[in-house]
Amino acid sequence: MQVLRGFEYRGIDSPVHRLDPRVKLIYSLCSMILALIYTNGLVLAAIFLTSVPFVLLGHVMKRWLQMLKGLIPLLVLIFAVNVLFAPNVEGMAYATSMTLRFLALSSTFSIVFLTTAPDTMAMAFVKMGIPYEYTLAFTMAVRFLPTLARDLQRIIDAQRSRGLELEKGNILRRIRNFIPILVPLMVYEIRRSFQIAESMESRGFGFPRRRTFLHEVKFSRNDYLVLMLTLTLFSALIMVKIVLRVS
Amino acid sequence: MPSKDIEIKDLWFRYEEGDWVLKGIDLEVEEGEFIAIMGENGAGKTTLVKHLNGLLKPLKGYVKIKGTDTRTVSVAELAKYVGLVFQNPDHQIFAETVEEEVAFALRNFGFPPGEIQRRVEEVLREMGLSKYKGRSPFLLSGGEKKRLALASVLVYDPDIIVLDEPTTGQDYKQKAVLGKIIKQMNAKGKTVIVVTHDVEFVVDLFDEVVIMARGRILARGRTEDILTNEELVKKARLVMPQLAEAAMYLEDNIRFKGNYLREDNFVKCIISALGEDVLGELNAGSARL
Repeated sequence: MQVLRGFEYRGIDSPVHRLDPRVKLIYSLCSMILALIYTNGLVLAAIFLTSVPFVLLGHVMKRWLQMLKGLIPLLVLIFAVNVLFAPNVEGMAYATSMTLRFLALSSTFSIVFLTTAPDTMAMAFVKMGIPYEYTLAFTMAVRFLPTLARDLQRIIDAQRSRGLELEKGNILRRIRNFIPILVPLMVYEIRRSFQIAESMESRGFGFPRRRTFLHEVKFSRNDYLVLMLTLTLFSALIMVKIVLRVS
Repeated sequence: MPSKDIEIKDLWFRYEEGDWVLKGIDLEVEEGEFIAIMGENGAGKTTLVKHLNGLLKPLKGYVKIKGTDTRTVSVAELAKYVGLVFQNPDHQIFAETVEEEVAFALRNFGFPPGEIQRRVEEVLREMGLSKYKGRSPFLLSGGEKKRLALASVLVYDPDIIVLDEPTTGQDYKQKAVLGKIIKQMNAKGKTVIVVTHDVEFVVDLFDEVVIMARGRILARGRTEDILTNEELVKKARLVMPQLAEAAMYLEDNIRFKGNYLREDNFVKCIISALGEDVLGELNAGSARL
């Protein structure tokens, strides 16, 4: 659960929040590509560290740290598994790199979500040519996560009040224990989605062929600046990879 | 001396790093009491109720159920004594048949099969749900689902029964049915606590009311004293019962006294205030018409 909070948007204002979501996506994509083609620990650490200025300028340090903290078990697992398969010095180095890679990927990715409102993200998608229906599905999925969590809590409360003990019994019993939780949840959410669809249709959703938007995303000076910086570093590192053959 | 079923002392609670939802609740409920807890949305009623079977544990103070501190036992253990029925039955219905839905708690508590059979049949009969025994609970109407949720708790016969907003979304007839069932439970000696902001429901059913607002208990007392206290009702952001409001208008013109919250008493109050003479004239008048 804690990891998820590292991806949850909170409506605060900062230079990073004001950046065009497309720029942040490009930054995230570039970091992802670099993190995947490099196995060099130093480069991977550097990629990870590029998220620090975003975190600082975006005032999302607390959430970011929470996310990292939540990642610890996974990081340990990745490291341990890699060491297990090659229990020597090289293996250790490789395991470190893989751990750093995962860290870099999740960190840059979380920055995008931490600092971008789902609506703004949707507008960026529309600008990139993705049909509005799909973008809406995305925003609504994000929007309804807290609602889903609340429903889940209510259902768990109700069933525990009827004597359900989730932590009791062997594996089989424990899996069966989830039926009284999951059935109401699914029925409830399916019903809810029909209700939402109906209320959207009654407000005319899907009628206009061409949609206009109240707020449009537009590149500002800062956007160009970050974009230039990202692309320059990205091409530089690609060149380093090709010319110097760094692993 | 009747023993205390519920003993809450200086209970403080908040969710994670939010504001305090409950700010020093003190409440004692004795065996067999019949109480309505009222208050506006966000007053902390549901949060308080969730403390009664240990779903939430106090951050400060304590909650004791039949003398046992809720922090020392599991929810399942407390659930045997405290039956909590939540507002929305859709949050708990999952079984393939009505019968199975009702039997769920009994199976959790390890009742023998014969006993389960007997109890399920009895409670379904009491709730008027016998004919739906083999049906899917998802196909029931709103009112039937509400009764099913109630049945699924009553079936294991807890000493304390707590209902959260039982009248929400129910029509007048269903409300009357629910009221009757709730009253019957109390007559059988159960301690019953009902959380609601349905003023008329409280007036019809309850002799005792607890008023909550912003995480505190503002008052506790007899329904006719509490709900006719204009200042208090305003403070809790509730509305007065219609009869109380009517009485207030009448008070300005005629001498109006007594317990007027129920229709028959209200009429008696008017009659005694007007005096027999006026009444005679009125009768004569209506006869002429």
